[in-house]
Amino acid sequence: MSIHQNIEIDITMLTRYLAGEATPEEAMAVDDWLADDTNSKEFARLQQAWQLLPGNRVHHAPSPDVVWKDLSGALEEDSKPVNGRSLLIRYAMAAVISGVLLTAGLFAYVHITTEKDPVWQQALTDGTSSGVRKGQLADSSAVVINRNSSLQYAADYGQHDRKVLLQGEGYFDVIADKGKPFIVQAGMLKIMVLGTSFNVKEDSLSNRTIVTVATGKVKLYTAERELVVSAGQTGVYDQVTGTLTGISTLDQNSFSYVTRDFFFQDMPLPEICRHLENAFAVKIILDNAQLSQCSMSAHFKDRDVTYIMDIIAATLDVTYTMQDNTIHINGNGCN
Amino acid sequence: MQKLYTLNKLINPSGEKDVYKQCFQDNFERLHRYAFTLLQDNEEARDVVQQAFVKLWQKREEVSLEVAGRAYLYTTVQRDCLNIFRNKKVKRSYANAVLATHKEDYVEERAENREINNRIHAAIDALPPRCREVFCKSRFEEKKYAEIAEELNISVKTVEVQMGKALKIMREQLADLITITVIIIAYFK
Repeated sequence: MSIHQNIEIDITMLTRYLAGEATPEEAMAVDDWLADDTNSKEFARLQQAWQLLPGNRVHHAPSPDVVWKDLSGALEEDSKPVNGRSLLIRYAMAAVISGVLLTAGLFAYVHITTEKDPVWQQALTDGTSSGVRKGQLADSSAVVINRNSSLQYAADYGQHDRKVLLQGEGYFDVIADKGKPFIVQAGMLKIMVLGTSFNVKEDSLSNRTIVTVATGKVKLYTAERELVVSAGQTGVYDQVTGTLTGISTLDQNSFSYVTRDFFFQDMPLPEICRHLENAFAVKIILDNAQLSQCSMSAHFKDRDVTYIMDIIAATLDVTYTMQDNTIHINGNGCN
Repeated sequence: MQKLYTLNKLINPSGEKDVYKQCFQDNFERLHRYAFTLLQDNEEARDVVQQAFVKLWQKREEVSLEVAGRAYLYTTVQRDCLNIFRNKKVKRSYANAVLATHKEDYVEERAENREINNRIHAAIDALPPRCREVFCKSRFEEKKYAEIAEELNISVKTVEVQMGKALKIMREQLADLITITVIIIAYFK
């Protein structure tokens, strides 16, 4: 059951809706409220008053039948999803690796057997591993390394290729150089691109490594297998079995710690907390087990953790306390 | 009310598309209205909503139609609309500049509606000053609540309240015009 039934529909809410200020939750609540005939008549009058202004545009929905015809046509061309096991994978996705390509890269085939282990040098050290670090590599490729993660680069970085070794999570914006492939090594998995940006994170909990591609293409490869992942898709590497699996979607929250852009779609509170913990240096504890039943939809862009927690608290009707980067959430849970 | 499509799917497990079609029929017009509030453009709203349904179909393996389909659609529509809205902003400020230089033509074109326009403007003028200021910024300058709040150095909450108040007064003041407008709209459809 969704939580939007707690949203009160009054003149302020309806005006918000007409003014294009309603959140998805609020719009759903308004639409539910409109199912009642009296309400929908009241709404029609308000909508007309709203649209009365000279030069103002009037809402007119096209016929659903006509649109359905168009839509059916578009669906016929649509291919089946790459893989259906997405529930488990989705759960692990935000926590593991993600990759974005900003420019479409070509990739060259590299024989794994001929690769020698490079000499690694530490990059982006600030003496601690507690903060998110940003910096550039020798070729001006930009990197962002998350907390508790480290990045090393090969001593011969930029000579024949550009190899980096990642532990944890990192985001890369790679300068294009066709002759010198950029290769991220994360455990046994390697990800190769020629000019692109992407984010990598290993998750020891789920033993998975996930590469998410927003535009362009990357190639994932191990000693035995390889997988090309295209725009809008996700590649999953199972660290235990060594298998590579493609799925046809990506999770935008993979990049949240870099972009501070969160998309929560009817997302359970524990999952929301994991995304926030990953992006901010906080630990979130649900004081009441019932709270894990709560879920909500929201979009946050460039907000600090306090703002986000305030919204969550208001939406779910819970309270929270924050002390020394530990957040406790209190409340009666949702049903 | 949120519909549950589960039963349908259980009876006819291969009827994925039937469930999807039902979801479309239940939600298309509402989503279009929501998209219109965000974009103020019927055609663009149609494109965004249709695209959201395509995305839902592509994600049907992971976004359960029964549980999360509706929330997914609303969220996708809002996100895509806000993106378009932001991109249009630059073009719109240009369009406003053009409009300003041709203001006379614009007024002339609408002369036949002058009677109605006078009534509407009188109603707007009669709003309490703060209320009118907020309302005009929203309706004529197409500003978001957050922008208005920042410009006037007031809270978003205050903007919300003033906007609600303005609309309530307008509806009462112009009650007789509302039916007239309905007829005009019907005539030009």
